[in-house]
Amino acid sequence: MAQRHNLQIVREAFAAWNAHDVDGYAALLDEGYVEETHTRPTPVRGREAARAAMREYLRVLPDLHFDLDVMVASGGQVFTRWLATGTYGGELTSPPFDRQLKEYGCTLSKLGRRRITHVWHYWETDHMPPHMDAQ
Amino acid sequence: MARHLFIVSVRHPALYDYLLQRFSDDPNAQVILDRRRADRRQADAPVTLERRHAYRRQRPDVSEELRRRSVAVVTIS
Repeated sequence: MAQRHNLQIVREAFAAWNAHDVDGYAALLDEGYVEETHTRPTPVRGREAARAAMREYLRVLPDLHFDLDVMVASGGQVFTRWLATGTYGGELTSPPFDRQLKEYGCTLSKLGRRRITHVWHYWETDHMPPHMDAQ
Repeated sequence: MARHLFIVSVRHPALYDYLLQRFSDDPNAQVILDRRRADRRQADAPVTLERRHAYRRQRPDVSEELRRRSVAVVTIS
């Protein structure tokens, strides 16, 4: 039962990303939320920081979208594999970055008290999209 | 209770290390590194059927999936 709820919460989180609904996403996060990637040394900590990070992502990639192809819940965690697509906007469209983003990756989310407490993103390519490095 | 096998491509060691750590105390999840292609390059002897992992017998499409993606997940109900 808990795993089904965890899957539903993470589905809602990605749905909020795809709807570009910052408040909807933040509502699913625990106050002590931590967000990391495998290449970024400084994590995002807290709900308000997560809001700011999401706004920044959407500023750089105004049409960012995640297509989910694998979701697995086990032991209080949810693993999600995805394809992220989008078009770079603003000042980050100059070389060496392509204007189109098409990156495979996955996210491991940890849940507690019916909220997301921790996420870790992994991008499959060697280079990081510029919006990830900028934070 | 379903069990999940995370098979990580040898090209993504950081992902393997992280998943291994995060699922270390989860009895229903197992994380393994897919070394088959690397192992074959290192050894001239053919791989015997007995040495092949059970998941390959069950899911031959895992090999194709791992050529394209960093990780494949097999769920055993």
